Amino acid sequence: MNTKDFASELKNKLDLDDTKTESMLNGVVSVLRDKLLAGNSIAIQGFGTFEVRKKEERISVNPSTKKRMLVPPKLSVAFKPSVVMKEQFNKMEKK
Amino acid sequence: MNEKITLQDVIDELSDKLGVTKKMSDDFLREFFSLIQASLEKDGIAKIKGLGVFKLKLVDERKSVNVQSGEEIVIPAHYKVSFTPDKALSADVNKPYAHLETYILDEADGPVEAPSNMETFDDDDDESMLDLEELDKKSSEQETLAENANVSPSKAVSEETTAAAKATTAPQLQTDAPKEEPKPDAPNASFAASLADVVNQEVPMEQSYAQVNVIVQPAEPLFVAPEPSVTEQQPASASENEPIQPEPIKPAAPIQQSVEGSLNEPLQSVSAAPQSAEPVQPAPTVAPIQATTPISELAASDSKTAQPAEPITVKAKDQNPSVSEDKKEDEGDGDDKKKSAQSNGLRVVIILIALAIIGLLGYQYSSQLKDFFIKTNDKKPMVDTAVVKPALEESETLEQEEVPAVVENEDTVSDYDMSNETAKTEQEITTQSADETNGSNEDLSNKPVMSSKDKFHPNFVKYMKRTYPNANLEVAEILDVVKITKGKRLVDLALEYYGHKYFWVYIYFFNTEVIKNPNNLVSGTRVKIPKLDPSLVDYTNPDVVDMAFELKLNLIENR
Repeated sequence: MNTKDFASELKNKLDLDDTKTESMLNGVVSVLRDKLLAGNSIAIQGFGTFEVRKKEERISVNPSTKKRMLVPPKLSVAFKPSVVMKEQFNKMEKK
Repeated sequence: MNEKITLQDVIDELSDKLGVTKKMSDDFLREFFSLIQASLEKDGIAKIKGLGVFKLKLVDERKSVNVQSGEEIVIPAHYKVSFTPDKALSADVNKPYAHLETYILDEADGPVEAPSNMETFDDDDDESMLDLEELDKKSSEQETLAENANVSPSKAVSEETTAAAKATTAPQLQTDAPKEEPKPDAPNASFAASLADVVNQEVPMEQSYAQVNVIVQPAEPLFVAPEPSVTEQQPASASENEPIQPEPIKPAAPIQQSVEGSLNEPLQSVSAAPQSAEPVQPAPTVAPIQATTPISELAASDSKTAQPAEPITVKAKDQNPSVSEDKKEDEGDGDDKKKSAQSNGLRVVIILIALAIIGLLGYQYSSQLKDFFIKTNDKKPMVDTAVVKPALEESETLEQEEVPAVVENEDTVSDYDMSNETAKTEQEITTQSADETNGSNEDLSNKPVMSSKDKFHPNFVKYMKRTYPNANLEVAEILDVVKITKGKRLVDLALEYYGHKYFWVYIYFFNTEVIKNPNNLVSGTRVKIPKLDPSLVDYTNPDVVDMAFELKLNLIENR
């Protein structure tokens, strides 16, 4: 499901018009984004936690050239699903 | 930073941002997250533009071992949610590290060496680049001089005390019988250290007391100031000492004795213990006297305005933590009274030294107090300013008269910083104070002023002329003066002011005086950003960027 489907689904469920849905959707994303950029973690009950994690520098080896490279540290966004949500997924039939 | 945001916070923020009701944004957000979940259940994937992609992945069952019991267990097949942040989002989040690049390690480098990022070069800190080494040697002489003057707080104190200790031994040996072994130094010095601590603690306390005390403080060190600076300077200047000393002591001594007497009473009552420590050298007797001197001085100058009782109580408090020492001192004091005739001369000498120590300490704080005073100047009554003004004038004349006094002043500057930020390293302080003496009078934050000192490192200019004869290294003005805060790098500055990170080399070579190691900027350093010829920092031109990069490689990495 991509953003477009997502928006139309939301629109139907909440009984909103197109522009309203879009502005709300953009608003949510930008709020989450701002929080993450500030280094905060966002915990949504029943869904999961978004947080910024630092990945330390590491040495990686290019398997074909055998060159060893030092990869600098980086910050990335991580998402950890809540236990509740995980359980619900696992109740589903395994494909 | 590092807060945990809950759904409620997000709801509030959203309704504030979009001007919708809380209920509305609450509904929307709940629906938003449950729809992501629903979409994951249905399709196994949910893409949200600007945020990222959630995917549901099936993990097959696998065997594992229970770590505690060693039993074999089977982890059943389960789903896991993977989240890949949107490219724009991850790029923005990673901004603090965006300038770092992957670095190919040489074979010869060994397993963990030569990292690419600038902060980890720290190992070869003290080396300067080859081209600069000559000049650095020359400047290092000056630096060591400066460093001697600007030591970390503890060192500064210890140096003073050792200086004081040295000073004490010398007169002792001269004036007293061979009974006085150099041994007294040790307790004396150690006490001096503790005294220094006491005085250090004292000053802030006094600040919080009546303002009168604050005003008095600068006056106190001023008349004693020349003394320590002379003693510290050279042993030969003992003769110089004489003409200056009489001034401070004459006013201080009589009052001191009176105050001392009053103070000794409580002290002795504290030290009701038997005089078991007979062999204590007379030197420790300095201690009570030293302790009293600040009060006596305070009292002396206070007498017009404030009650001497106040400082004395402060003193008593201060001495409590070191009761054991006090005891010894008092025993020594009692001891001293017995052979007072013998040690009277010694006492006078020691009083002088005590005054010197206190004067030195007080003088160091005087600048702090001056600043404090200036800040609160408008609030204070006119009388106070009248008191301090002559004092300030006096200090100026003193500085003019004596070169060591100026050196002393540098010391105070650095000490002032230290007292503000005690966690700083020695290195930080030395560079900072060196910097501050360079530009102590200029308003650094607002108006960067171009001075004759501000130019590229001569060797750099030479190198540039040789390799890039076309490069225009003229610097007409200074764009800005930036105070380095923690985590700030030259690369950031270059990116900010010139538009490309490689141009940091120019900033470095413009600031070689204050930047010792470009890979390890000392926070508090004030870096001047030169206004460079546009052709030098044209980041749209790859040649110019390459040139900067090569400069970095040739001049800094291949030392």
